[in-house]
Amino acid sequence: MRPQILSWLRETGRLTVRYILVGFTFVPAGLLYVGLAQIGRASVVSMSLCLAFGFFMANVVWKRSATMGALPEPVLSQGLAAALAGPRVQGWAVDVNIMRAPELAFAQAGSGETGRQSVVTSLWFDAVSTRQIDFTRKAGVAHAAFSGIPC
Amino acid sequence: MSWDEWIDLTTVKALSQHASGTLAALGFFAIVRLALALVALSSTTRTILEGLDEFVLVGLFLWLIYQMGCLLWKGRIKNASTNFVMVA
Repeated sequence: MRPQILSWLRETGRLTVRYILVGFTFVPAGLLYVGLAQIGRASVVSMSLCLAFGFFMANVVWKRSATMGALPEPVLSQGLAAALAGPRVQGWAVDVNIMRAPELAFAQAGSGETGRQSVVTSLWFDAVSTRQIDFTRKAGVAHAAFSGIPC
Repeated sequence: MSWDEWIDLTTVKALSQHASGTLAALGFFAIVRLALALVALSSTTRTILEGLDEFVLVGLFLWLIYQMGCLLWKGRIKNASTNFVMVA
């Protein structure tokens, strides 16, 4: 339980920093609105425009700060998990195989792999390309970190 | 459409993290504001700071609502696709 709490706190801390950055991005928009108010242009329209400007800036900062700090949380797609987890959840792998038949046919033709190997290759590529999987290097061996896999 | 299409444990966790993050950020800005209030400032600067207070507060709450909407929507899509794979 303790590692989960620590993980929650770590992620919340990272989010807090991001929200503080977002708060700072509304400062220029606020200054703009105060400036407009001082020249007698304070209205709902000008406030909405200033808020929209702040929102745009916040969006840019939020996206930029997403990669700040630690690596993103490793999440594995269920299909890949099923393909890698072995016979205990082999039913899932079969389901995925049927659903992704065109892609698997392409993978087989391209690599010469057979059946289950091509399932793994295809899903692996899918998970990596959509950034659903992350790699950590421990003791010189690169391995995937799994989370939330109901095996 | 039922509530469990929108909310699962991961989404609840993310929502709680975002709410806590916003509260902590608001606490940070409150401390900054208190520190600035202790410093002797001109009346013009005080007026500007009062305007900025509201803007940052409103901006942060709007951003939190937007993020919560995004999280709920993503959770709904994820839950829908998970159900599809499980059924198939």
